[in-house]
Amino acid sequence: MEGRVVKVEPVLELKHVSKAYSGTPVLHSIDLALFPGEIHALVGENGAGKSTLMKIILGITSPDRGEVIFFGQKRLHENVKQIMDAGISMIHQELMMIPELSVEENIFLGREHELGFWPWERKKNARLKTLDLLKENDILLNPSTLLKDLSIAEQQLVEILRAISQRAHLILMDEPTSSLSEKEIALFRRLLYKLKNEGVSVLFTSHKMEEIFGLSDRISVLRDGHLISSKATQDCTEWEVVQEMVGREMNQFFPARAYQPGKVSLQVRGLGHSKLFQHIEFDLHEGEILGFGGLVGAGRTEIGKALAGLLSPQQGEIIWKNQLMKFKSPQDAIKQGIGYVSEDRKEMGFIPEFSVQQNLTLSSLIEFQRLGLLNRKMEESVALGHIERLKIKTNGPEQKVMNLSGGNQQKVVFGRVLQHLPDVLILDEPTRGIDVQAKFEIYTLMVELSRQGKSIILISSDLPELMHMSDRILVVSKGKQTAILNKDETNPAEIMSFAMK
Amino acid sequence: MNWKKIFMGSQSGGIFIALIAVCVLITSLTPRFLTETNLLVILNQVSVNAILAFGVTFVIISGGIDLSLGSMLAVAGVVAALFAKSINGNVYLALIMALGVGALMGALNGLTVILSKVPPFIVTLGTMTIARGVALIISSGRPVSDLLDSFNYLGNGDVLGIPIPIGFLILSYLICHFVLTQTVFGRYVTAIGGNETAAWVAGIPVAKVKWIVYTLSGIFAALGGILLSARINTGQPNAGLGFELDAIAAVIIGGTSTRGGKGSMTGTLLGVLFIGVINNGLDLLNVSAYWQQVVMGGIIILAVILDSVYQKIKR
Repeated sequence: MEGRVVKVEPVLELKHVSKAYSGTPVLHSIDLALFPGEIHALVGENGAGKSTLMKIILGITSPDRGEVIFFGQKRLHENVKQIMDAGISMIHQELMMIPELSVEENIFLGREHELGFWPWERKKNARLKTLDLLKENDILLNPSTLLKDLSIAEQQLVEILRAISQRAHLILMDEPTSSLSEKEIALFRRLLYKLKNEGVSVLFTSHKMEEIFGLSDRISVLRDGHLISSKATQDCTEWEVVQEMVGREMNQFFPARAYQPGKVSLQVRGLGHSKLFQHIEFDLHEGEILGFGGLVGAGRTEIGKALAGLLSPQQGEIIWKNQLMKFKSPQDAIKQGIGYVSEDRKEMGFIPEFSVQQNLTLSSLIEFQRLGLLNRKMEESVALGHIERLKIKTNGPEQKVMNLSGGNQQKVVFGRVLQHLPDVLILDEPTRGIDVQAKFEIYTLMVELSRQGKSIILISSDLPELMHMSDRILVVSKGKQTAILNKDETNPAEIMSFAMK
Repeated sequence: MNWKKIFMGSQSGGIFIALIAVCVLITSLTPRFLTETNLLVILNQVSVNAILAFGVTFVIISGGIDLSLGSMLAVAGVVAALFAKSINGNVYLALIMALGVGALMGALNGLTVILSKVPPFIVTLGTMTIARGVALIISSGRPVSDLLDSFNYLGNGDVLGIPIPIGFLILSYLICHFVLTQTVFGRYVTAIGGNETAAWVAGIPVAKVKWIVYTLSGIFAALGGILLSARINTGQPNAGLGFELDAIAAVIIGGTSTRGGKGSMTGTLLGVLFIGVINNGLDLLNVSAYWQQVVMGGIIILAVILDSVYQKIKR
């Protein structure tokens, strides 16, 4: 806040808040204050205690020691409903709204009684109030649109509108932009500033540095349940924050690598699929990391899917090992040595009920067969190898993957793909939604794989990641290839300009 | 078999305790329950349901459902009887034809599910009616009787002192349990039920596996049909009405998730025994057939509730 010292009462204050789950401490004496109109970023690796802290603020769990002070009053045994009525709202990472209901119905869900007694009265008031809300916030939406027909970003806006209509003083947001595109983030940013001007405080978590620095007034870093720092954003550097999160010196956020172009491995000629993408053409070399840049929805994911056998291209050729490839299924691509890590980990990456071991061996299960029988011993030793090499944090190979953190789930997906020994890897947003430490480990793994001569296609919306990890960057805009740029001869502005072309 | 593993096992713990509890209760109410003869009667009675249930366990674990079991059983039962007539009949041909027809019907179910993308509930609801019609057509609506003695022996005879239907029950259990837990195919079935898209992306031949799963269900239904026709010495086109519901109930009671992705043959076996023991107990206690249905339905719901409570406690 431009260095002004304003003596205002905090909206919410935590004093010496501690919490342990079955003897394991997760929060150690946290002191934190949130001021009116403050946008506060809460950062830390997975497991640092962010979600526990949010749960305490929301009253879902109560602290073992310490106080929660809301508007100068100590909060005692209240339930979530009371706390929400008092003006604290939460916007979840996974949207908590009903897809089959309309925008206005969702905004007033659970509070219909505020709209009047008779159904038609409620209907009329819901419409009027929603129109007012939309107008006040300059949002163009039809109140009667069903939620399922909106984009994720618009759904998120509706959720924020709901929080506003509840007259919230404090809004908690868990990874609010993880599913938004650049353009949608701009809209989100505008709404956030509007909230700020009205004196609403926002506490949000995020893994994206640009966003943490671009949006927040203050950054608080949690690590292993300790509050490491809480500083005004203009007094922090990105570097400091990362160091504080990880808790030890990291020489470089992106591992160093040297690349000498090898032989051409995969050739793509004039690849196209109806409206999704057209005329995609490039050569991929052994040991090369080729980045796919562009806006979300530009068609990068679909090109990746076509190369991995998830989508059949309608035009063009994929030439691999001097042969024309026609993949009818992911199975075909896997047999030819193409590995694929999808953008949507939960939907396409793993079997949640399966153990770490069962997931790791899934793509190469045939090789664990002896006389028609699965050889569990062999499976286990291979799984232990991956757990060690990829530093997967797990109780053991028998733990279910659904109980792992996002970063470790992603490592399991990588392990499964590596186990079928691919020569080409297609990685779609491989570090999305995972903590800094795991990100670094995945980058290191990519470097190691490229050193072994494997070719990698990296699809990423994270510009720093794309710039640092790729040797060349192929930029896609509206399904068309607009440029292939050499890493050393380009800059983010140029990439963005080709992405918008 | 490891007792501790069954008792505290992943899915079968709750139903195992419930089964023991019901046995103890019935034993305390009537001395006629815990006798060798009665226990053999129970096993004999449940054998057909068990065989259907094992087959459909694969389908349910893969995330599907098969409502056509009872009708496929009737078709196969009639086909077996038609080829096992005492004049010009051949018991081997009868078996081959019945199992072949079962496999064919199952394969058609599978193919329709895969190609049409219509939910299997609807597809097999349709084939349930179609197959029942086929059973009536090929039998001209009349029971097919006057069968070979060697065929009837399959339903009523014994080998090494074990009644043949019970032998088939044990054999089916062992094979299905083995296939589900020890083979690539079993792992694939479970993976598809757990997350079909992820299984496909991981390179599993999803369509092929599903096709085999429905085919297996048809084969086991046919085996059930053969045993039933042999037991009553008749191919009945109306046989097996509602059998699919008993089989599915046993699978669910046995802890297999209705959404697929997890389940076990041991659980299904325990579920079948649970239903069989209660039916038998109610008979022994002279409960009227009408009330038996009321009690049975209530107990099924109770068993599933208890199991879900047990699963929570265990966690």
